[in-house]
Amino acid sequence: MRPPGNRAAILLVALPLAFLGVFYFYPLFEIFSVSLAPGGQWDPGNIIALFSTGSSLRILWFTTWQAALSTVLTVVLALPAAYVFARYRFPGKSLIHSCTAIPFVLPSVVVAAAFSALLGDRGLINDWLMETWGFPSPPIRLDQSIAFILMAHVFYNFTVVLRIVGGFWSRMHPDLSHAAQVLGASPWQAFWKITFPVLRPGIMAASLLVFIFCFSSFGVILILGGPRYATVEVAIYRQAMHLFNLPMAAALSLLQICFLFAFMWVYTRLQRSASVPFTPESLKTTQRDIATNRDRVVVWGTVFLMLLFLGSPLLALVVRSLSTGSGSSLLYYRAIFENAGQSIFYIPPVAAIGYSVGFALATLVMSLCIGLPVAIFLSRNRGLATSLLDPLFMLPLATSSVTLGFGFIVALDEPPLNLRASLIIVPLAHTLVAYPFVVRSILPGLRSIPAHIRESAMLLGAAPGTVWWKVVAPMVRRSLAVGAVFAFTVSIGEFGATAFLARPEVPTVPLAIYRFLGQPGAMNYGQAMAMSTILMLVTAAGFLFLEKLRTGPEGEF
Amino acid sequence: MAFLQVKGIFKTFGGTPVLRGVSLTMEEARILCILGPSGSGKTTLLRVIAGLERPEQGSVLFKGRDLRNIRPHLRRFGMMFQEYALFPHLDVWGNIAFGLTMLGLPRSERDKRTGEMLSLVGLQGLSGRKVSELSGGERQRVALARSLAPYPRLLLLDEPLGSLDRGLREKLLGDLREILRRIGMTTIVVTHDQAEAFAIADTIAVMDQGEIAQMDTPENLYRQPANPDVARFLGLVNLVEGRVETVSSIATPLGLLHVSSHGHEKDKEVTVLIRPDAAVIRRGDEPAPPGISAVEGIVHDCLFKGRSYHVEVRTSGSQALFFDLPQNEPAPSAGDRVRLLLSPGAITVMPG
Repeated sequence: MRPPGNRAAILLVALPLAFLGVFYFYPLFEIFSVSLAPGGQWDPGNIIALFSTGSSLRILWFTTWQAALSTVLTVVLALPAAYVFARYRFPGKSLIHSCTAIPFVLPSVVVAAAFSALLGDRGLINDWLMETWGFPSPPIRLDQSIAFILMAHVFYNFTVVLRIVGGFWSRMHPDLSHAAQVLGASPWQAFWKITFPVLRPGIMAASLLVFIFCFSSFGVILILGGPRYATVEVAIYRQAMHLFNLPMAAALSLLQICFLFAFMWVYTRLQRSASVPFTPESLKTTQRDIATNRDRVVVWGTVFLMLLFLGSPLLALVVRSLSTGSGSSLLYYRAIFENAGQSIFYIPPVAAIGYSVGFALATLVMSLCIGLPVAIFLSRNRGLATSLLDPLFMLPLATSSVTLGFGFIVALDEPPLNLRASLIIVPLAHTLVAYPFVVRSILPGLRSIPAHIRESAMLLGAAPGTVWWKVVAPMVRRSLAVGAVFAFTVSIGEFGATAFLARPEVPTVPLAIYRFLGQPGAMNYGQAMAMSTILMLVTAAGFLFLEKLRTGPEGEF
Repeated sequence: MAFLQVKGIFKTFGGTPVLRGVSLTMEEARILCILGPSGSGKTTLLRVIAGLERPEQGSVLFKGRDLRNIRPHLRRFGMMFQEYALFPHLDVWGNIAFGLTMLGLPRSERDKRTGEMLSLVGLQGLSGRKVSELSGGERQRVALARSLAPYPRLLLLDEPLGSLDRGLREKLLGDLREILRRIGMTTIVVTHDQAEAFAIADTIAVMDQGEIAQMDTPENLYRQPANPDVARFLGLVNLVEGRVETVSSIATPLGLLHVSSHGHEKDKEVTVLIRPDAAVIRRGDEPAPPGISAVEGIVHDCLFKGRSYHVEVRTSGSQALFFDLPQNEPAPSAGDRVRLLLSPGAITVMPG
């Protein structure tokens, strides 16, 4: 097969490039122009106002310190678990390892609902304390507190540190630490002088990633923080949707975009320089079985505490969704299908599930249409074109979904692209979030096919198209499935952009949960729990399916 | 009082016994080599002595003091690990100075000692080099310098030449031996290579399946292996079953062999070891001199090995015997019928 000329290659990425131009760069440009030149006139007033008023500086400060504190807590709490997973073999290890990632893939709305179900004012523990000990009011007051936000962030990002640092650690020979000890370093000194510096690139990469996630945290802060707390993301949302101050929202978005791009740039640099400084060891030499009682305590104690922390909110969610005032029943689940009359949606909530699935399927198809050609294009080294287009196509990953959603409403609201009233706007935004994952899922599969396999198919008489369908496609089927499930899962849980774009009468499941949580009454709360449980099960199932399919090395982000 | 005493060490990993009652004693300024096949427990023994593994039973005594509750970093033993375990984030200088920093030495003294160690191993120019930029032999030297720097009371070397290629090994073996003797370092070396052990050790302890099968000087070990397993591990393969006939003769399938029964009683089942350097070939029919055993056979193969010929002889009982014959005598060729005269000093009797 003649390698497709540049013209054919450009045709391949024409549609994705057009998509990126219209739905990514154009909204981005509109955000720039609304913030810097509202009304068509150059006017940096908004940006100046941003830095001269105390409130936006306070928002920026809060965003930064909560992200920093969340990061430190996550690293400190996840390091022991990373050690245990790096150094020990124990029964059930790979399953437990997979399960630790479930919180990370859950929609932020579900995470918020789960913490509310466990420790909120209406949560399981408060209920129990009030019933058993006769407290007149909930004794644990975490609702709308920073502690609640921090807990949710640690819960969310635990696996990031566990996987990146644990992966690093498991490739480091234990003799490095032993050598330090024999040379006179106490175990503590050996950790600080040897293990920690050797792990530092991994810890730095994981920390920065967690910091980025927490910096752009939206759903968790909006739901668990209440009106008292606002990150930049939440402020954009409030400015745009509650105060209708689009120029201010645009200025904040601009700020967010600049910060996230800067962080992502640092992260990419860090990853490049963080090439492992030691020869990676095989897991056979670095891991050992549980032998002594001390090992037993260390391993099972850590695993128990970790699963308690990661599992109890999710369990509380399920329990809460089943426990009604009069014992446990499926009341709330039935209500999802029934209450049409006094519903806050004018439609039965089950319709939200229908819309979500519909949007997710549309996202799946569109993400594959965009992601597959991009992956095929990038799978061959085309010199400059590849090295320019690869990061370009990944840009949406470095943009927060709130910014994407906001960009859509400022950009796509007038002809010829007036999509505000169209249903397609939601899956379009989801596609922007999801297709980079599709590309990243398919690309390794495509790249791993050696050229000579295609060449021999060709010499055996297959035309280029036939080579594709008969040889390449079957070999990347798995990665295609992974990409498809990824796109579906991303879409079904997406909250940030959807909050801007979905029309009130066409809500998705995360939106419905958010609204239920904001309403008083046990019925609304119970339905929020029930829908969160359903969403959790769908996402977790999707993720575990992915873990089974995935062939690449663990812990890649 | 012994310098180092290891008493009755037992250690299991996941239910599998790795050390089964190991005891040994060594004196100061000596080099002890623990020799054994892989999986015999020799590295574990070294790690127990260093304090990196805790035995289930037994104790390690240093100058009479039980080390049970002394943690590795307080024992002041140096250890060189199998893959050297050089710290990848430090340069050569940083690696060697690490133990001195831990000792809390003043900077000037630390720098002086680090410099001395660099020149001891002949790496003066490389102090700023990254560990990843070193060759295998350089790594080995840095590891040695690093373990010697903080004045260890005992040096433990785990397969110090194990991961190097053959030519380099011989050169470094000589250097290692020379350095250790020069500074009078008490050293325990673990290796699976007999030649290495013979070249470096004052005393060799042969380990087999978690036990010390024999501990002796290299010469005695070679001349008088304690049992057939030790002999086989030392590369001595000419083992023949026999029965004690008189105090100076053993009945074997090869015929009556003239050798001292080494105190074994009459009619006792024994194994006779014929060392490869034991034989002289005679082609004629002249009778063997009194007290010299003669064995007849057919040359099956003859390999020229440079300094000697390696000859395989099949006896009438179809037992294969291997001998190294001096190269200055005419070589036999395959198919020759030969008579081998075996000097009694090259034959050893071991318990069955």
